[in-house]
Amino acid sequence: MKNALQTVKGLQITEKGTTQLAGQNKYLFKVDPAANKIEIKRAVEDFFKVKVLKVNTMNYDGKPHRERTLKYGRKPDWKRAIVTLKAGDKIELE
Amino acid sequence: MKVTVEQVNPCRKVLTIEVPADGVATEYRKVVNEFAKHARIQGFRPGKAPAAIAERNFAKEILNETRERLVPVAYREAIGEQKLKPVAVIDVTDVQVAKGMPLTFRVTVDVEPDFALPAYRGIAVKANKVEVKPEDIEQVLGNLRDRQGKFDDNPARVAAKGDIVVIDYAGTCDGKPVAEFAPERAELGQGKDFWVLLLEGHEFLPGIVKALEGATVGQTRELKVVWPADFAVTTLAGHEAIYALTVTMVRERKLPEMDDDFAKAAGATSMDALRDMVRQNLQASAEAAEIGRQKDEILKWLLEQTPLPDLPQSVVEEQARHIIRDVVAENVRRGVTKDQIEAHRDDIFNRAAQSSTDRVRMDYVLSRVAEAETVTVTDAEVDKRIVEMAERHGMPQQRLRADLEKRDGLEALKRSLRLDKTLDLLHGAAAIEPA
Repeated sequence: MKNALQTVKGLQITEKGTTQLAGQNKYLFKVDPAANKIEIKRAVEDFFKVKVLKVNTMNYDGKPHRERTLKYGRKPDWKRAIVTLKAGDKIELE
Repeated sequence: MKVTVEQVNPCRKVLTIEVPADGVATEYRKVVNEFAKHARIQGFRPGKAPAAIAERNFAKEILNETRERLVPVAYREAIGEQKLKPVAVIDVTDVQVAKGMPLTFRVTVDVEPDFALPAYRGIAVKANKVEVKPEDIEQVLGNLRDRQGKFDDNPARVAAKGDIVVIDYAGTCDGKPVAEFAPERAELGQGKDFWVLLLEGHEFLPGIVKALEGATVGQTRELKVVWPADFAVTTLAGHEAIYALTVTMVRERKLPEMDDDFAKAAGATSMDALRDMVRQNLQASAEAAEIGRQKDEILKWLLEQTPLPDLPQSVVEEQARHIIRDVVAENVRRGVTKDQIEAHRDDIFNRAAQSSTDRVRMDYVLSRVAEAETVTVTDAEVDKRIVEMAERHGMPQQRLRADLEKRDGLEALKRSLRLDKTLDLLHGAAAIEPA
């Protein structure tokens, strides 16, 4: 099995993630696009020592991207997960 | 706020200032909020990040800013609390600031010296008699006459003092022309139609005036010159040269008669009026010089009688720097080379150190008197001084004023005017014993 850090790429500290979701005990994570909800739940519980109630995920297309040399390409696709924790559990925003 | 004062010397103090932790915390919070209001952090629109996140992102900057804001405020408060009059902040050291901790730092300051003024009213000064001697007037008139003198060609004239003698000359040294020895100083070798003014102190060859006195047109005189061993032209130094001087013309000096025409040329109606004018001028300048001397004496007395052993070092050094700059600028203006100035470096520095001490001491004593007597300087007086200065320097007063403003000269000007007025006041209050 992949370890927690391979699944969960990092906590996303953003305006929406912190100010809008903080009150509902929800956190945004950037995760491996290949990971499923169960893997994400396990990884977060394992790494942050918290109890996860729910995981919602969404896929983002990588943005089109152009080098100065007119080489066209894209940023890699990525996946975001909104993880709801049990009331009282908390993740310190580092 | 806790302040402890250590005295390093009578004019230098070290303050150790501690701002309590809650005071620091309040200011810190304020700074954090201000940072949050403008912070650009990824994931947030500018200024929308929560304070906690902004604080984490800009921890170092926020601490710096807190320190920058607290130190001057705390310093001013401490100065007020201790009733100190600092003249210069030497340095600020050991600044310790951390979140939730008291802020501590040490400031080294120079303070005004503390001293008591002697009784400065009624300083006894002996006046010298100011009188214009008739010979002084005659001397001035003589100078005027000399200046109006004219020179006319007079081939029959026997050259006398004051005349101009036109000569051709050539010098030989050890049988060879002098020009061979000093090709770069051709005028030492030979010359044609050379004008020699027969006055001591105007000799381009030593002894030439004596040699030409009594000569007539067509005569040839011989002049023996022994160059000194330290002569600038080294090839000639220590040698003996013989010059043949052939007189081609004598220009007789004709002095104007001391009559009313002469007086008119000098700007007076008659000879008596001219004498009177000269007397008045001499009298006025002698009186001004006498008053200057009396003021100097008052100052000297005041400085001697005021116990002022220690001066703030920073002020003395600053003053010394000013003096050195002035001396160097003055010398550069007179065409002294950089190397020559560099050679006299120690000398300049020593003298500057001494005179800056005197000047600073005088400044303090006089400003203390000015304070005691509430001497003030009005804008009109400043304007008047600027007009005078502009006239003296021959520059438009607007430009002078702009120049002064650019380098904070107006303040300095005001200060010096104030000291001048104080000195006037002291002079007015002095017990002057008539001669």
